[in-house]
Amino acid sequence: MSEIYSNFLKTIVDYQYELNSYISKTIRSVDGENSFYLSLLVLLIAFIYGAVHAAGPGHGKALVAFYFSTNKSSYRSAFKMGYMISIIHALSALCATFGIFFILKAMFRENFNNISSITMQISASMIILIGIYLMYDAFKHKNLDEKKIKSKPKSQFIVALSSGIVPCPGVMTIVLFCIILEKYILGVSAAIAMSIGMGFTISLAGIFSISLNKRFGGLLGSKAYLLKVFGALIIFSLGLFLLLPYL
Amino acid sequence: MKKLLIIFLLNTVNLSAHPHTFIDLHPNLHVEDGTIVKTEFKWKMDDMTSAMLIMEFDANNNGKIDKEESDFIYENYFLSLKSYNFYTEVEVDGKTMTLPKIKNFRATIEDNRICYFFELDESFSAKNTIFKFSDKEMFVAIMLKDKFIAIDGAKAKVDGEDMDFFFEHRISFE
Repeated sequence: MSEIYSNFLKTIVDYQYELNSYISKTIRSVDGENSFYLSLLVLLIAFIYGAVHAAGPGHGKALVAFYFSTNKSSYRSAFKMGYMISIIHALSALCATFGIFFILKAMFRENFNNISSITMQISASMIILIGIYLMYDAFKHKNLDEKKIKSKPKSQFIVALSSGIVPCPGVMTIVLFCIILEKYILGVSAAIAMSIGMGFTISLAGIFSISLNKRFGGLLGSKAYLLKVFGALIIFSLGLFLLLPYL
Repeated sequence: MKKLLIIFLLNTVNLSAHPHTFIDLHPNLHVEDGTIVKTEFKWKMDDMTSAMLIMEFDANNNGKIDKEESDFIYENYFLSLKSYNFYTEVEVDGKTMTLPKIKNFRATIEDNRICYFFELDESFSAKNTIFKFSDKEMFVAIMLKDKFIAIDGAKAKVDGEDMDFFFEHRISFE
């Protein structure tokens, strides 16, 4: 079983390696007459790079998957959540990159590690709180008909915020690379394109989870709230697991 | 469908990192009479990571890494990778040994990319030695391709091993 997964990981890494090399060469070549078309090519590669990049571990897919597989939601809300995460992810990366480069002006890697550490702790704490809230919500509505239990937009936004707040180093690297080459607009555009690609992949994880919920959630009948409690416990544990290294 | 479900589940529960830095690994091994007498590695960082590192490393902005800058990189950056065993393991007679002392470190810039060169300060019997390369935390991807390898004096076998949650490159000798 793990062989299938490690082959998948190796393939993802190989694709990212090629895309990483291709995007840097294309960004460097954006100059002169063909700069418009080359910029569009950069955006296209950034989109694909984002989609492939988010297919690997991390990027909040665990949170999204557990949330949607244990909470009644529509496929549309999976796309909404995926794109909320990617927008927050992109904004966070852009703020961190421009902030470190133009305000702190030195030791990019060290400052980046500090920002990552702080945002990771905020994110983990928020995930723990989401777990507690979902558990409270599940018990509060445990007597409601299973069909009436719908996840709330507010809780979806908090899930997206907690997941997206950690800046993606992949996005930051591209933005910084463009800043160094003084291609600022291209850097911001590439960050947005990459985030749209990541949002697409994260949404797919949500859709897959919703389809699992639709297929198996109904089997529990009046005890459907137990699935929500289970999901809340998993999300709580996930937050705790992410916070533990910092305690 | 079953394969897709396995990948989805494992990918969801796997909270480890994913690579943001790619290192082309160029091993340069010299074998004499069945003994590996020189084990040198060259790490060539990807273009985007290099741009960030050059900004930090090339303090006098002269487009190259001087001796003082190289020494600074060794002390402040390279040695910090000791806790990751420099992404390198040496297995002798089936047992993983403590990585030997590193010598002759130098950093350079080639084609806008940062390169680290270093040697292992020990000789090994080619017959019983396997070199393994990976980052178990998956933050760095070590890329070992046939065209990167320079080995003289022996025929080497280059392959990889599935390690459940990461991939390990290996060099052994026939």
